[in-house]
Amino acid sequence: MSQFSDINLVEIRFNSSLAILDLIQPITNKVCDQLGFDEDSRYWIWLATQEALNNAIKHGNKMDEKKKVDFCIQVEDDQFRIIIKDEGEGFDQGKVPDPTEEANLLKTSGRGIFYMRSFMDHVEYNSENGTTVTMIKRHKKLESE
Amino acid sequence: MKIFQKNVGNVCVLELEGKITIGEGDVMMRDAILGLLKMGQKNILINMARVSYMDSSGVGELLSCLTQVTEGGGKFKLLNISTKIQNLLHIAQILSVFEYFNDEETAVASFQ
Repeated sequence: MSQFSDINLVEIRFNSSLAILDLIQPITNKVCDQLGFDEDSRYWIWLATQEALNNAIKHGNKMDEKKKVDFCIQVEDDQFRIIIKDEGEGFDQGKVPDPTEEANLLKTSGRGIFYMRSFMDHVEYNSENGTTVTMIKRHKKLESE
Repeated sequence: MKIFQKNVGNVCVLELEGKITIGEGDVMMRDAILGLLKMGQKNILINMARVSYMDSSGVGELLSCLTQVTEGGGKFKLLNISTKIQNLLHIAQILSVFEYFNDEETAVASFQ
């Protein structure tokens, strides 16, 4: 977690298991609530977060429980950031198909990153030493001030 | 997730309760639909009034169920989708792929 800094509100390192989501959800929602996000925003932020966690556990670490996922919440200035890092082989995000293209509309997978991008203000990937995804949402309290 | 089943005429109504997410609800819904198809049920209506949350895996399962039922010569329709789930389907440009209703009577009648 060396890339993380003092602005971290939450840091959790866990084995690759989807069961951890039940622990991370209330923590994420609580932070969002304290930052002034309304119910709708909290719902969509959690959806994006869950998709990123699913990807890290399922596609990144391939459900290998020996591999770790790092989860971090940062709050800095007007930015609420969620950073998730896996120990997988990384991927080329340019090769991820657009699920809204006609040929992909009925496909049963491939919408996770699309939803993350739809509900967060910014999503960034780094595929060095596993995959790190950083998702940013401007938080309302500071936006309105 | 819990699934409650009832028959209204020749329509099988599955009432889902809980979350349809990866590892929780998605497989259960798939198994329920496959079970109905094996029994020869062609008309399937999914009541989602008590589905509190769905992720991309749940969306994928809905599409998978729609495809399998349709390919089997049946009809797969949705009832009482929440605004948030409608939004989830809408932004992925697949809301129009589904036939959906807000009241059971109209939904059941549409199968005839």
